[in-house]
Amino acid sequence: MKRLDRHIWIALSATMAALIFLLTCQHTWTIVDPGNWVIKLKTHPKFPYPPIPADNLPTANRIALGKKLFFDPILSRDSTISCGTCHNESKAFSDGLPKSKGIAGQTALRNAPSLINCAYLPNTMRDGGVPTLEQQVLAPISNPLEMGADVNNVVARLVAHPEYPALFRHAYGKPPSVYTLTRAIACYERTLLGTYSRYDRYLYDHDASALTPSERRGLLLFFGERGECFHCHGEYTFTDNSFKNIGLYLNYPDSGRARITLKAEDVGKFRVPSLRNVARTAPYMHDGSLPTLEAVIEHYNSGGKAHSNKSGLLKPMHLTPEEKLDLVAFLKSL
Amino acid sequence: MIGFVIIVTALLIFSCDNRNQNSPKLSADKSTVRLIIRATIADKDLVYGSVYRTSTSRAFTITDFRYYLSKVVAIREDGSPVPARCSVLLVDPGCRNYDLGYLPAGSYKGLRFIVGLDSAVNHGDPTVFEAGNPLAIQTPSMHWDWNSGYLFMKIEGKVDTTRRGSAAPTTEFFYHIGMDRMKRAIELPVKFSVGKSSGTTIPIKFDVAAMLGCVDLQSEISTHSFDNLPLATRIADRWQSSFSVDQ
Repeated sequence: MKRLDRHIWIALSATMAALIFLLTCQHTWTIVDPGNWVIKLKTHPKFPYPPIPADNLPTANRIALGKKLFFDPILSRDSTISCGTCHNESKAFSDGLPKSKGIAGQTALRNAPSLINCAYLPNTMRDGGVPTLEQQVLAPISNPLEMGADVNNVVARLVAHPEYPALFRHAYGKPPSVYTLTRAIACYERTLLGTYSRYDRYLYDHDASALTPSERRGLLLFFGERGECFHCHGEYTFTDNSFKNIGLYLNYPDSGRARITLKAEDVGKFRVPSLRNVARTAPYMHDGSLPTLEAVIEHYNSGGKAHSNKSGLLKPMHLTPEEKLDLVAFLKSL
Repeated sequence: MIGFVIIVTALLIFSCDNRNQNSPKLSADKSTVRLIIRATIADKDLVYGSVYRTSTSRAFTITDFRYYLSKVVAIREDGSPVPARCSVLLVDPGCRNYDLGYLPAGSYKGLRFIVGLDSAVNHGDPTVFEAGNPLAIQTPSMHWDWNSGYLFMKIEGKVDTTRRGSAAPTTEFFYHIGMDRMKRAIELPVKFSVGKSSGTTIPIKFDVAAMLGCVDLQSEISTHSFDNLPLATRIADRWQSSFSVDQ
């Protein structure tokens, strides 16, 4: 009986100490809220797990906050445009326009890229100018042609908002700030992952019926030395994330990668885009100048214009009309 | 039951993780050496919105003039360098006093610093800095979010671009100087001594008119650096001669 008393005393003291500690700690009850448990992203079963910064591991609270912010026009100067305006789920998080529309009817510089599998990008933007998804969040907010806002003003709006401060505290243990705002949106963006396509069933499950005969012929062209597509559009996301000039123009109005590096040999180079979900991300190219996949195949078939930086892989392909159809059919299976 | 209470208690304690681990703070050391920096035009303090005239009598105003000054090194009489504690200053005409932190007592014959930022700082993540830090996102911004780099200097204003140029300035001009290649090392032969107990101030000035002397304000009204490198380079090359000791 005496021994039991002593144990109760120890337990009570420890509990009291813990309570006092918790009351002085702003990050209270983390363990109690399952929304703050680090979760595993539901990645494509054949993809590696993406790299995630240690300070922004995914939790349900962070993802939910990031999703709310992503679709909230509070981020734009006149509160008319959200991230979701130009990254629409029904179009694999692109917008179907040649160039996106910003606030006050303005036209942005480039075509909005799909965000599917953005967790796998080694750097962001079509010119690779921004190293992380977190920092990338700043770019559309401050771009005068896109959201046209001052991120500090956006943070002030969030701080004054009836719901956001509590959501930020739950998710990050901190109030809204440039740091937590960019973390939350990036955390949500990493959950935008590709699904198992018909091509995957063909490749990984050896299900020959997953692709039609036309699609299978397209596959052979794509991975063969006539198509040469796989050199840049290889790997599981169908991109090596390099920057290439594909001879779209003799004079590029948008210098692309050279805007970042200031090097003449980078003029007209843009990131090789992923081809996953490519059927849903028309129009194509950095400026949305090619409206359909058929137009894209025509461009590659022509070998492109003779820009001095053009990739050596672009040469006239002399595809037959059937072969063009086969390639387009294959692309739609990704 | 008791064991369970202890385990829960332990879990609760460990759940209180380290906050702010990604929010570096600049040390708030008490300083003994301060830089006093004035921005001037024709030897008068720069005032935003005041109408000034170029050597050809063209009217212009300045509405924003800020720049990063970093890596300050004091040079002792014997030539040995003593790096100052402060890492990065964002110089703004609205503020004159900039703490450099402690310097060892003795006589000094000059200062070395850079206008701009080292490449690692320039391409670091600006979102990790708390509001108030010079490297945090400023309002108006001193960061190019699309290429992950800071504007080393931003100068904006209005100018009368008509042929005579003497009417009210209405056309906006802006020079945004940045990217690693625009960083410039500055040397300033300023004599000062640091006592054992009392602090000291080092007065320097930046002559905005001297810098703009390399620009034709009628025709050269903008650069974001990447889109007009020659103009940005010309302006950056003027920084050394625009600094002087404030007598």
